[in-house]
Amino acid sequence: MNNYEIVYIIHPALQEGRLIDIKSKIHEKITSFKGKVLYDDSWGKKKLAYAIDKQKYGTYLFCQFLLEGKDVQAINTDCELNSNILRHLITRIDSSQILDEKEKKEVKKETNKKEVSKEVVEEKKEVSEVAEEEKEEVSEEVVEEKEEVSEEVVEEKEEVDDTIDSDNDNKETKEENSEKK
Amino acid sequence: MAILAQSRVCPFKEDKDLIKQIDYKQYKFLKKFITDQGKIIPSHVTGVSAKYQRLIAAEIKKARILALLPFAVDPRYS
Repeated sequence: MNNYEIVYIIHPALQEGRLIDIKSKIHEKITSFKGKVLYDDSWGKKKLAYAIDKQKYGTYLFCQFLLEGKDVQAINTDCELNSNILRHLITRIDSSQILDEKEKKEVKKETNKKEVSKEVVEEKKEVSEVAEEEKEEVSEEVVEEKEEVSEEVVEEKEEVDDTIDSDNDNKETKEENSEKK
Repeated sequence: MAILAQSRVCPFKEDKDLIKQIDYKQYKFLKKFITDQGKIIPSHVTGVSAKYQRLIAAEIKKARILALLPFAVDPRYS
């Protein structure tokens, strides 16, 4: 029994239900030959480096399995006859290259989503705190400006009063002079 | 006329982590060994030893079949 891995590209128009159908067919074929599926994963929809069958995107599926050498040709013919599978490649691997379940990209995506949501919540809190601080600063500045403005107004009034007083003084002196005369 | 290699030492010599990355699935690592036209860079330019240059070339050809790397790119339209 040898270790093999297969990567195959599926037409992008197929939805999840049909994908699972194709995957299960290949898994059943492997088990019918007394093999064993060791690891399977989906890399998702990816852009192809060149167009295959006039398609620019494709869903990649990956599987590692244990099988006898003479039965691999049956899986090869299955992939060739299925018109939904655009390309496939079967390679022989060592037992050291078999991956664990923790490295599945699907599992990583879920954990990433949780972390992303936590980060978003933290960012929102920070933004609100910063906004509050800014508001306080702005209000302080406004208060200071008002005080300055009021001080200026008071100063102007004092000046005006002084001028008026001085005018009054002049008038009084003039009257006195006139009276004296 | 041979262009002298950038470095005299093969980067894969006795570095097991790097050797594990020679894999058709790690196409982002293999991109360093192809030109902007998609051609494989010769070893007298990169300084890679002959053994690893053969492995890299074999994995690049597998990645090309799976459309992870291109066969040919027109640099005018990239």
